[in-house]
Amino acid sequence: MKRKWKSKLGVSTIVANMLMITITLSLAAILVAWAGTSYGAFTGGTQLFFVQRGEALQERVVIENVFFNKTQNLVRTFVRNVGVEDIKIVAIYINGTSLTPISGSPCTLPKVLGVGAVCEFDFNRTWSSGNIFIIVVATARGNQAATTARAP
Amino acid sequence: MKKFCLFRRRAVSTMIGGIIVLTLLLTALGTMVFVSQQYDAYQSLVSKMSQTDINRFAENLVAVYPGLVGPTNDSGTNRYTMILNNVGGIGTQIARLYINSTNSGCTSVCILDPAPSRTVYRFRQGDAFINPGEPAHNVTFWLPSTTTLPTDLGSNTVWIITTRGRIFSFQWTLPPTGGTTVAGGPGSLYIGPLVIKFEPILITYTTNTVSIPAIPISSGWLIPSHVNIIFFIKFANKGVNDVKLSKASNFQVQQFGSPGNVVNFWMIAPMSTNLCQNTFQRNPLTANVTCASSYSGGNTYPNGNNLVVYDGTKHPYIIPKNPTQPGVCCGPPVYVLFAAQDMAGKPNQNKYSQIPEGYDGPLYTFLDLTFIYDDGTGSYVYGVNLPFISFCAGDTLNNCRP
Repeated sequence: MKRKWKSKLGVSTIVANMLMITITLSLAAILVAWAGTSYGAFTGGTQLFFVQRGEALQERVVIENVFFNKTQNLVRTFVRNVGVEDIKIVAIYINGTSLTPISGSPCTLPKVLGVGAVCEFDFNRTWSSGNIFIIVVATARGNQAATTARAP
Repeated sequence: MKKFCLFRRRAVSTMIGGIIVLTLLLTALGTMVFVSQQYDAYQSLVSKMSQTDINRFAENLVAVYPGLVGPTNDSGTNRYTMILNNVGGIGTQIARLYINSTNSGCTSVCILDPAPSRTVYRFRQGDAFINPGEPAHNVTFWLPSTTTLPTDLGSNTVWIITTRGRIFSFQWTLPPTGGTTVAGGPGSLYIGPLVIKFEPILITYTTNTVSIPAIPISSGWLIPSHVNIIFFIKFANKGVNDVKLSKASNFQVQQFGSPGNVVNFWMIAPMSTNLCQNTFQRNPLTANVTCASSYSGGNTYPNGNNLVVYDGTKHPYIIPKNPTQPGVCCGPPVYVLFAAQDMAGKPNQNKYSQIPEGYDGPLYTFLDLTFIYDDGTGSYVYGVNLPFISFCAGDTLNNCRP
């Protein structure tokens, strides 16, 4: 028995095997962890992408009318949410310039519009007969509605 | 055996490797399934919204002549009725109306939202939905009594906004249209400036039980007997000036089998504006008839036999000339009403003539017209007598067949 314990034959093989197993398992653990994290991030990102795209897709906003008031130099813009999601209107551009509604405007920016709701935004803008106005309404989800109106 | 299995080292690395690979595969598979589900959900949303857009573009509303009817006083408000055809393939709901007038009326735009009952600057909620393909759908709305829309051609623009976001518009007043309603051409009889066209809508009537004249009346010009009856006969003017009918105008009916048995139907007051606008002007066949302006107290409405005597001073019959090309056939036609036992000014002007009871059979008629017309050389009173139409009295046309 003494001889058996004192024998050094095969020790290196055992150590080598243990080392190999440890390294392999460690690498495997790292690989699984990395894969799990990557897949998790991927699925999370995909879910977020599709949810956001889906919400944006369900937005429908129309500029249903534009009226011009000469005495007050007003451009009255009526915007309606005809989609199936609430929308948040964050900006309205007239001929490429982002404008702020006047203080007495029925609605101001930003404005959350419920489904089916309509709102009037009044802008102070000098106009004369025949002027062309390109009006763009932008929502928080990145959608736009545009119309062209000619002053009477 | 158990000991042997636990401590044998063969295939351990294979098992470990297999477990690792399987774990990776399962994780990847789960991810793929999850992503596929998300994508499917997104695609179904895309399909749903595409269908929403298809539905939206299937909407199509068209205003029918005369477009708007009114105003009618409705408990201190001005009530208008808009007439629309839904020529789209889908039911459509109106969300809002905008009206903008050029001079008086809605100069600063009128905005009308739905309301369950009469409210100024609102339209009737129950009228908001229009079935697919529905013709002549009425949408009632109310404006303040102080707001009356101007009636110059095209002086108002009406926008109709639907809940799906479509926008339809038309200008009111609409120009008159309507193919067969224009008098003149083949089948017409010309008496001086007057034109009578023999067509199904030449004549119609109301009685005790028929409040709204049928347009056209039944084929063969079937007329009831022994009832209070008011005849409507259509005239147009191809002259250079308006024609004013005078009180001696008369529609005379004779029994075919008994010549000499004559019943006179003398001219009575024009029909009410309400009846004219709501019945004749709404019907595409008679849409271009002209109505006596603001004569709410006229004949037959709401009762078919509501006789109003003729007053040639206050409410004469004017058959207008062609407004754009005088002398060219024709101006907008006018329905002239005949019903009374006597001429205006006589005691029996407020009593009805009747086709005699017991005579259910063919009748023939004469039309006596007296009118004032200026052909450019001065006004002149004309009197003409025409052999006119034949028709059948009774319940069925069988009475007039051999």
